[in-house]
Amino acid sequence: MRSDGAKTIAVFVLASALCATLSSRARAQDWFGLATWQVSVPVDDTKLFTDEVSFRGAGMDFRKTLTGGTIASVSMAWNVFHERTELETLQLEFGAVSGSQDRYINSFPIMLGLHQYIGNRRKTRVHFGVNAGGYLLIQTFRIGITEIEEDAWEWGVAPEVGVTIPMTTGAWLEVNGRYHWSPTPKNLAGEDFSMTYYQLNVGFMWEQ
Amino acid sequence: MRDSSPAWSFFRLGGWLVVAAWAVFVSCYPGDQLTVQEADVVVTLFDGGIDFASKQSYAMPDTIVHIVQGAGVIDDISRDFDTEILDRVASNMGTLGFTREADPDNADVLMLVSIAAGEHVGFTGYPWGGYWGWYYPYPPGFGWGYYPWYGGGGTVYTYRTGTVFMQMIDHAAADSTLEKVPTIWIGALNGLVEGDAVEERILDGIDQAFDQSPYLGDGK
Repeated sequence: MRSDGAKTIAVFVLASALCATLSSRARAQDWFGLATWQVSVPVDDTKLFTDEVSFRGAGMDFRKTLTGGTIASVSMAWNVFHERTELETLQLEFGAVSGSQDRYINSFPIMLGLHQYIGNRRKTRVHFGVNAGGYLLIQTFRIGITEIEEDAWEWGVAPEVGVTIPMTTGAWLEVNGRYHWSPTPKNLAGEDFSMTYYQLNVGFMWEQ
Repeated sequence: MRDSSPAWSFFRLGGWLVVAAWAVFVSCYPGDQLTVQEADVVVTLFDGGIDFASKQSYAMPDTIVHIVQGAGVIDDISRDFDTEILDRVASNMGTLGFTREADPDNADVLMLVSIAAGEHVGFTGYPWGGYWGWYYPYPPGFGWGYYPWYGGGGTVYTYRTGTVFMQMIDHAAADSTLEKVPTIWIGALNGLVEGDAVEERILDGIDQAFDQSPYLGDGK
């Protein structure tokens, strides 16, 4: 993560700070804020590049009731995948490279979502939905003192299922799972690869 | 008032928790701590059209060539480890089955060892360009803010890197017209010239270069 990632982080932090302090005069029970800690598990092509569970993830959602239990959302998050290997040898077509490696994927999903909540809002509710939008993916590979980094905006979807548990009036404990899928990226070698990972999110939801 | 309700106030804190989490992530970004040893890299490349089984013997000079940039540049590369480096290369070649010849004309290939070193300078500074960048709507680098000691802050750092090259050349296939001699295998060790274990790291790197090139021992 270098200049582009640092700028993206700064933007996200400032946007979160702004949104977190918003006070709303909107109709009661209309807008919700959701903050989660996110644990991500890479699978398939993502796992081939970084084969470690990521505990470095945080997300912010803003959800609005449309009608009944149907809720729309805007979400943004930052997930960091990292793997360090010690003296691993990479075979080339006519040679080999050995050295410790650091591999990173910084994933910044920014998505719109549509969710259906089932049940009474004053009781534990299950919800399911789908998020769709863009990912800023920053892939970094370091070996020795040489580093290669590529960043790109990609498209993807993230179906979601979760449960909200009331804590007090206007506040809920939120646990949900997402499956992120972005089929459009290319890896650092320029080959097509599918960015996929499972995610478990735990956090709080509150009425704005 | 919704704004003053305990639930809303408490869970508004959730948003700040996310902000704090991101701040922690930035400051605790994984992998940025790199030891000198972890910065070492060994690269080997070979000519895929060569039958190494036909190369049974080699000759190697008793001197390591120092590669410096440009005429007049002082060669300050140490020769403290030259003997150990050449001995380790010879040892690995012997392990692979090569026979060392004193006369290059009697050898199938030549092994040439060389070293290059360089100084690198970097600067890290605040992205807003220092005092003048804050006060006036000028882009970073404008005016006094360009110089780090005028309140902009930042750090200038230097580091020295070295590369040991081992080139196996097929002198019998030299093209006298083009004045070129084909390199059929090259091993390069690159790393920081720092710390107390430079010799050990170089020798380990030589071993690694030959370990990842088992095809050199074909037919021996």
